[in-house]
Amino acid sequence: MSTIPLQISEKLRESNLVFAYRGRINGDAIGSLLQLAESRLKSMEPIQKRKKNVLNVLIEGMQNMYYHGKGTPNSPNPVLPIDYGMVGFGLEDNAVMVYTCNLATQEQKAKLETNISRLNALSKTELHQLYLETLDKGGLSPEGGAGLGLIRMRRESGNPLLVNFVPVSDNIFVFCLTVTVDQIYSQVPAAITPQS
Amino acid sequence: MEKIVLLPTPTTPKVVFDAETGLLEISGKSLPENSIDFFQPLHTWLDSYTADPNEVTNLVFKLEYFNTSSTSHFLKIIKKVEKLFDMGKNAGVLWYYDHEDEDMKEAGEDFKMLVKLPVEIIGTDFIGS
Repeated sequence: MSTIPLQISEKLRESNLVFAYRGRINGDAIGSLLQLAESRLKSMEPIQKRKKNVLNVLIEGMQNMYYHGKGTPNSPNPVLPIDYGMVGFGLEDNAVMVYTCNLATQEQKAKLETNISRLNALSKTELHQLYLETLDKGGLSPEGGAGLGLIRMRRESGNPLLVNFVPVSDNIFVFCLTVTVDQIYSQVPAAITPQS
Repeated sequence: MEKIVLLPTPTTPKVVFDAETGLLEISGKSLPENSIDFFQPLHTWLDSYTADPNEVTNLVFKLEYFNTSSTSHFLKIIKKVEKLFDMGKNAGVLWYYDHEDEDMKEAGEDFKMLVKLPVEIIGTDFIGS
């Protein structure tokens, strides 16, 4: 993808990348990708709870990419369809870093920055409360989203969500989200312990 | 009323809604590409069922994964069954979770907090493939 910024590609190369996909994110892709991701994660033998946290983050990340990719207007790049994205995860020390990248408009960028900034400032209890309130309100966007995806990613991770927007044109950005799920091993295996 | 039987797929759950027995079960993975299209027929069925329900209704969840779009529909389904409880019918939710899946247990507890309907959270040995 020629519009994925160099620093993102480098970041992916730097991390011990276990799983990565670049292409259309649709319903068929999500099912297959989840199966593959689960298989890769299983081979890493993380704590069961943390494995589930990673998979839930992936599920929500891919769901968001699918729903919001549908809402993005025609891409300025004729080679790049609107539902094009990138998803993957890698291992860094005792954490799995989950990456998602997709296109976003200026309007979406503004909403995302506000929303993520707010979520990152909330405590565990406040996040839970927000999740319950949003769930109870029950609204769905025209694309079918419930407004809960980012909240869930923040809760599953327990860490601030990291965002990066790289402009592609006046109104289109590549929106990259990094979610950290740490303490995936109760004892860090020797194979990933840094050599002194 | 015609029974609903939907076979599971990699992204949609198995669904069995049986008006004769009052057993309404949703199991497997719920990540539908279009959650509105998938769940609307279930909501419509439930609206008819609640007009003439069985004396006993058990809404059973045995899920492996679900996305938050599904969560919203699950709550809507639970609230429809809650109407039966409010009418004095014997109605409740049985939320099964794999013993190793704390997240699924917590999801059931979240629903329990949001409704008055009895929600039983049941740990089991194994759910899913």
